[in-house]
Amino acid sequence: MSRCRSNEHRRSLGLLAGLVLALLPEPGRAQACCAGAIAGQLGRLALHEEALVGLTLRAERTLGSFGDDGAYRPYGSEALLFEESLFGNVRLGERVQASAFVPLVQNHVRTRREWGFGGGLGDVQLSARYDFLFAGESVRIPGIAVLAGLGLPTGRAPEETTHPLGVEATGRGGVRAWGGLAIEQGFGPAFAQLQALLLHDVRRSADGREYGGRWGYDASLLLGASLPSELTLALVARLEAQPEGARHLWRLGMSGGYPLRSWRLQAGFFLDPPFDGLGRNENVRLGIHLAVTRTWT
Amino acid sequence: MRPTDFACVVLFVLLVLPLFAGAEPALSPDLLERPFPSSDSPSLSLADVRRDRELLVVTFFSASCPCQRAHDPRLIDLAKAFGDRVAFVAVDAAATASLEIARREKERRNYPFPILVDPEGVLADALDARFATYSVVLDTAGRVRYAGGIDDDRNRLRPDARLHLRDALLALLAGKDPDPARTKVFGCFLRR
Repeated sequence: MSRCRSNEHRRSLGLLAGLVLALLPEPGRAQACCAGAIAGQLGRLALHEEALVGLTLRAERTLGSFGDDGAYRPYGSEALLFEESLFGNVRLGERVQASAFVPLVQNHVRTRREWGFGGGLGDVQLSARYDFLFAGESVRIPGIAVLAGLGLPTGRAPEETTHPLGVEATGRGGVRAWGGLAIEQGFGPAFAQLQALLLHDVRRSADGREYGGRWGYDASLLLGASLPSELTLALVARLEAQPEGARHLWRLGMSGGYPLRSWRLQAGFFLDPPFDGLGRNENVRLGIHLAVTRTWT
Repeated sequence: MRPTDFACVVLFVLLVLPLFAGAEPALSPDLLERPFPSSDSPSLSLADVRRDRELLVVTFFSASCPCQRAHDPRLIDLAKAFGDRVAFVAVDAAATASLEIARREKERRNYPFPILVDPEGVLADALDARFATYSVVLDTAGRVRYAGGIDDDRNRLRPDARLHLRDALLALLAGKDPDPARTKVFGCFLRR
């Protein structure tokens, strides 16, 4: 028993030592170059990359929800979402990036009386980015990029489900379009990015009811740093809101990225803080993600 | 101008452009002789650095770029290996470049070559330099014989990296044209 525990201690110490070593500077190595894209955004090309493809695995658990009064109420049931997505991005010229995101979604819900599991193809996303000025290109002016995208209704809409718990729903049901600006700058090994997007759910009708037709916005602040071991870490705070629908939600997250020659590993977690007033008419979730990306320079 | 005249001009330009495609850009004699503040002496020109050597390697430098730091050992090795026949110089073309930074960084990095200070980016503009570690090989006439990265390695200094700058120097010293003569650069932006 004591020997077992001693082995566990040794293993823990080994893991701790490994982590410390990974964070320490190593002679002959250096920080990841131009690391803004490494940790912060999934599927974004770094400065010298021409294309990438990747796979991401995501798991989310619904913890509760914010009501119309903004009060948080814990969820009595178990609701899990799993998503496996293929993504790709290609550089068109020096300043344009075009990307696609194809998710497979599975839902698992268990209540006291019943449970259900379902899923399928989610909403495919197509997006583009144009960097007017790259971060670091100018001392005085930060990097400025225009972003635009389209979410296609390739998933199953909530109203199309037959299961009482709606577990087959994998998409929004309608087209979502977005566009906005990203401003970012590096400060030595640290970097910051401010992003603001205007969202629009295109109006649609189903079963005699009208959906969508509403505007919203998504604003986020990302702060990150490249550690000497080439590991890049980023913290992100995000607010998504749809004023017409009286909905909003704050989300906090942390992610890390590590380059491996032509590969990149990314992982992270997020939490919608379950405190009254930090959301309205939205579910509160906790999630993790892991991504592996192959890049070409 | 009539549409037919305009079309003739466009056609002429399209036909003539390829004739210039292979021409090697060159630094003007004025720029070769122009003195810049230097880490080694009050001021040095590219001609001063090259002296009677056959080739001159100009590497654009950034004090804060991790890729630059990663490539320092390879650049120093090249300067030591080819020093008899090839002159090396680093140029700090960032808007924040200063003599103080140049002196401090040369000492810290043990560069066996000087760092020239060019905050106005005169040399960067003339040689189309946008990134740190971008290296240009000039011959005795100031013609650009190679331009691009030190190697195809971003920061890990892997053993199987293609050593573009070294290969270009070997080819040029053997009287051949480097292949490739233009390569991609891995480095941070020169902050202008």
